[in-house]
Amino acid sequence: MTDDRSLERAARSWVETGPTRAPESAVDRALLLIETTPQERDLRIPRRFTDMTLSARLVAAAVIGVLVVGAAFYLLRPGGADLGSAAASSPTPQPTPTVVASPSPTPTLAPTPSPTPTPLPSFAVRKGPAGYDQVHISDVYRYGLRYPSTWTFDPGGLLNESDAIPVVGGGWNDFYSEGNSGIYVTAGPLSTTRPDLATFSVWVAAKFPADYSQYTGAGCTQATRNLTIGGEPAVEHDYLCPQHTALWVVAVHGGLGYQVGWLDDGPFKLSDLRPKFDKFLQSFTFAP
Amino acid sequence: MSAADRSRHHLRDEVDRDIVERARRGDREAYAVLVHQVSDTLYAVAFRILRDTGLAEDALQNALVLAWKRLPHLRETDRFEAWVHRILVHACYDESRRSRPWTAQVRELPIDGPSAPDMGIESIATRDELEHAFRRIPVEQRAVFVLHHYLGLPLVEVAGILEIPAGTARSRLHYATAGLRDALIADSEPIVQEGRLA
Repeated sequence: MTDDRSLERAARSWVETGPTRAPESAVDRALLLIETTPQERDLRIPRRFTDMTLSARLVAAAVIGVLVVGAAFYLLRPGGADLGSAAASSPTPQPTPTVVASPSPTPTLAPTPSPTPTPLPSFAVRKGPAGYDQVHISDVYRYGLRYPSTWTFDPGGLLNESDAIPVVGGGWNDFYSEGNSGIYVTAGPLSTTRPDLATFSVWVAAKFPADYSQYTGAGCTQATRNLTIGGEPAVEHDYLCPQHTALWVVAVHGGLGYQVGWLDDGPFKLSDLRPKFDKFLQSFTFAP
Repeated sequence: MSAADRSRHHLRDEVDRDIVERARRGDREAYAVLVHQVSDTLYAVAFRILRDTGLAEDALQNALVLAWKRLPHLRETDRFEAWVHRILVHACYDESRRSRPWTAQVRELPIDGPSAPDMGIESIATRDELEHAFRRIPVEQRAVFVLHHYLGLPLVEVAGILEIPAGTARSRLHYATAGLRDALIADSEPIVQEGRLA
């Protein structure tokens, strides 16, 4: 059955087999979640002037007029604009390492990218282990790190929501993958009820098993350790099960709550996974 | 129902644009109507990409929730089904990566040697071989294969849904078919053991 025509015929027939109806329980669960899930606000500006309503056009024209007049006054005032001062005021370069942040390309994974993030100032990414020769700097999640060139990388385009374990489903996290295993990195604004590492960490420790039930239950053990990533204190929550393993690090920096998680299916030993995870975390650098 | 019928009925005609518009403006009841209209097809597609009912349920659930969140960003409401399929496929990618197969795969040695060529899909052995082979090809290729062969979508439309160039869709389909063939050949050869630490 290995000539292409018979193979394709057989595969077409085979792919028809299987369930064709969604289990009601799965649909009900989704609808239940949706009941308590807010929609994102659509903050995009219409791409073409002609797409806008008359009032929107008038407002846009007024805003543009004010900006043009303001810019003209600024540039034509005595002394003019000191266009060189921006470069002079940039941060002093750090001795090592030498990679400097620049806004990363627009992520393409998410169907609808979030509003343009604030450009990052220059900063140096910490040195990584041998072989970690690729650098990613995220202007969405405001960090940088190094990863092996043999890994694949999918950028996220959406900032995580406050008090949320990242939704699995594209765009809510950066994803570094070695084969079919990998690490999620995401960040979102801290809420007023969980404004620091202690409260944020306690909440994540409770919320994570609720969202990922396969990492709890019979045969599972849970551990916690304190560590430092990017110079900030962090807490790692470990969920070790017969068939599933998760190492989930939380940290806080610049008003954002960071979550860096290694999820895997398999009977791993913590003593095997942790050194690998630590290597990955070694170069993690928060944007200033 | 053939793949072409599925394509015609499920990706173009069944979803009412007004209901999409209401859901886009935050009407949860309207969205529930949409969910009931599309969830069977989405689940069938997810299962065929992931080959696992549990993972397919998770992908479906995540896709439906994410689609609800992002619905206000959808500009072309008549493209809702293509849009939600794109979200589903990305949810499948995540599920596939999160649930990396770890257990060693040990095949039994065929008593009578490798399978006879061109046994046809009626053979249970062939189905098992295809199942094994399909799980081995990359999930991105599986997605193109399922959208094209199961939903009956032209490759240009598959490319549009996945937001990839048409040439990429074509090459993924090519490599999926080649991967199936290679895996089937490998399946007819002696035991190997797989397994790799993360």
